[in-house]
Amino acid sequence: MTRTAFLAALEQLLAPLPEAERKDALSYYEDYLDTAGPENEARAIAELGSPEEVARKILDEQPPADSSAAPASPARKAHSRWRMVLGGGLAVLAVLVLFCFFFQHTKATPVQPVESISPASEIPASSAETAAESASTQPAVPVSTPDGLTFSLSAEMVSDKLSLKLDYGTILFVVDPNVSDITLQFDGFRTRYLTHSNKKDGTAEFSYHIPKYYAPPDVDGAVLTITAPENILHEVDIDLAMGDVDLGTLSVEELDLELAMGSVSADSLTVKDADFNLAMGGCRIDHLTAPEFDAEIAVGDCTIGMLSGARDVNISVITGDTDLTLEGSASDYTLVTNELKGTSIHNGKTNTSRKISLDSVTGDLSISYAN
Amino acid sequence: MSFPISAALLDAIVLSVVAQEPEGTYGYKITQQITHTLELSESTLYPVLRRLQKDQLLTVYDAPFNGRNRRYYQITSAGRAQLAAYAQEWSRYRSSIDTFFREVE
Repeated sequence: MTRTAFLAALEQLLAPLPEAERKDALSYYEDYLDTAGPENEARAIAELGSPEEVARKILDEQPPADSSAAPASPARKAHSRWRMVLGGGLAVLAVLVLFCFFFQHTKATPVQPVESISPASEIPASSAETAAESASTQPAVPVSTPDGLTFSLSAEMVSDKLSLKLDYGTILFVVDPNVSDITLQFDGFRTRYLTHSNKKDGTAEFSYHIPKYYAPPDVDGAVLTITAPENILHEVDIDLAMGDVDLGTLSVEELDLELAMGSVSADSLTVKDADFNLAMGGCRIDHLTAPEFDAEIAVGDCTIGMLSGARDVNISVITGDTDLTLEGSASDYTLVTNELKGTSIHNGKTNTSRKISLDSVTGDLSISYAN
Repeated sequence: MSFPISAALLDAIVLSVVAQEPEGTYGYKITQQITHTLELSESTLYPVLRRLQKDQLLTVYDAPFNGRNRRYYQITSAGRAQLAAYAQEWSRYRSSIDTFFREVE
């Protein structure tokens, strides 16, 4: 094996490590082989053993997954790459939007397509099992099924927040009044990169970040089904790079959705405060009950069959149609629309505090009322 | 036949090898010195060096050598203290084990 092949193989095998750790190990072995000198290189490589063996010894030394102070993991970087690609595309759209608003001399609502690359703090565990062992409180032990892993969590374990940070997959919510626990069934995921921890602040977090060297995954084949009794989830946070989310008939206090490539759908969503940030993909909700709802969609349609209980709603779509049916009549709301052709304000009853704000850049806006 | 070397013993050996070079020494040399005496895989030592560095028993600096940078390891005062503790512990351990072999020799 040549020096180049040895180092390349080692780098690949160390992919699960945080970048700083990987670089340190690689520079050690580069230095090692430099010192051995070209004349001893073959012998030195043979003595070190296979890259697999060298990598295994380094990976075995790694601290368990709960060391949140660890630097950015390569897998997280893979996730961030999506952000960068999308961010670039969205920047162009954002410029277009700002340009349009500027031209009209209207007050432009700042468009925030996708948050910038967030500092990563996760480190991938070598397996779901080690992650389970190292979490701060006792997390659920997953059960292997033919297609993946199943986690069963009692209501207390998800008392504050359920947080999902996945590189890809389809997420389905199923309400089942006959169950008492919350079950997360991961099918078709590479379970090696799936980690679960119960954080001190009461968050049950599942993350799934694949190393950047991996071939494009089978996105459609990976399905996470979350089965929960009614009204048990308080706060749900989803950060998904590729894949769709079907909320079913979910009822939750707070919902935070951030999807880089994928759409959201729901038959009926009841929520106190919801925040959707969709870069490429739309949102279709047959019945939404939400006092506060914020949706920012860069590319995709927003269709809400019926919106009840709205007090402060902001929907901003850059490229896509908005189709909204509001409960009640036009006089119940102060409706502010921001479109390419200008801003329109429709004041309802005097002093109504129910505010609906719709931004639409290149798409149709359709608002109707129903009781 | 050989006796397995525990992680603590390996730490102690690496610390003592690095301590012999007050100006610092480098990975390849440490590896050669240790594997010359002990039956040990060459790839065992990087994780040990890395761990000792993280525990601040060793420090690392780069210095130019033959037109490139070489990484040197140097023992810290905490490393010396740890090494002294290991040496004491080892001598106690050795004499207790030796009591079993007194009759044999």
